[in-house]
Amino acid sequence: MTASSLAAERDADIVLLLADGEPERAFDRLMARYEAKVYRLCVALLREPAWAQDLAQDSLLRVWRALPRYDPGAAALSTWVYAITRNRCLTALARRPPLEVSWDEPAIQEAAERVAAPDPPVGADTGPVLRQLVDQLPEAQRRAITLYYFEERAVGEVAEMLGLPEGTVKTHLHRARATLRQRLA
Amino acid sequence: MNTDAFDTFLDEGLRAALPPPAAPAGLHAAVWEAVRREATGTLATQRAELEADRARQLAALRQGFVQIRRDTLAMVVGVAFTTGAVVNATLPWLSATLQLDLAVLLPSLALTIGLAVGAGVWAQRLGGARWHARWRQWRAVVGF
Repeated sequence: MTASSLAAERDADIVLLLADGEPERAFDRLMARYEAKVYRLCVALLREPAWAQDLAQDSLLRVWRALPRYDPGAAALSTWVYAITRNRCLTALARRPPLEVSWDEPAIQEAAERVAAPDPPVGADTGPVLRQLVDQLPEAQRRAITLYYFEERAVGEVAEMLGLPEGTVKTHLHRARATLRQRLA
Repeated sequence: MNTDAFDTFLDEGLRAALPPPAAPAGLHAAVWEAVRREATGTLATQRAELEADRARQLAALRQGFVQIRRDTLAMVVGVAFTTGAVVNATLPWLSATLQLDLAVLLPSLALTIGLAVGAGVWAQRLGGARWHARWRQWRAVVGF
């Protein structure tokens, strides 16, 4: 069974509520199931938690508006919700100048060398350094690897959230790891 | 560190560095609040549209009323003029032919026309159209 059909099966109760003419109950259940995932997708795409919260709220509001027009035959509910969220975030990103990140910051280089040492320090500075290194990856790789760890390493879920084939997500993950390995080596 | 150990280290490090963020505490309530606000906004919009529609209908009715008053006035003037012209043309001939006194004939004619018009108006007000429809229905049933 594919990830998409599993998702469709999981959301059959929501679709049933919609068919029974109970959009409020359906939406409440949808939010309970997807609000955290929608927020994580927004964080992965936008990087900024406060902005992500605003756009997660706006995306869910758009889902509510579009809910009467949802066609279960066209796409799984989760795919549809993720597509609305993704489009909203990408539109917002397109209206904002891109963030400038660079490998050349000496503090990051120094911290990366410390982490990659034969006996790396296990503690406070590993996380921030890795996060900075991830932030400097090419955008597609950064999104894939961020969501991969947000979604507890479920490639199928990441693919559905990003609207990409699983193979493409695996390629992004592989390249991201290779880049990180190279930077830390 | 060998490659496998490094990969494991990297994987564990990334898992620790990128923990799944929980949804903000107020997100659920904020979305419902936005939904309610929007529904209120929609109702207000609908009300404004209905009020505008009602205003348009009232304006159309007022316009129609003014038009009817103009038409009625024009008809009254036209009928009075035509009647005057006809009477002026035919009354001397009628008077000479039938040997009638104008002093009696003119008020009698005016009274007859006035009574006929008044009776017609009151018949209309008391449901003339309804009676007329029944009359036509009865004629259709009886067949003449």
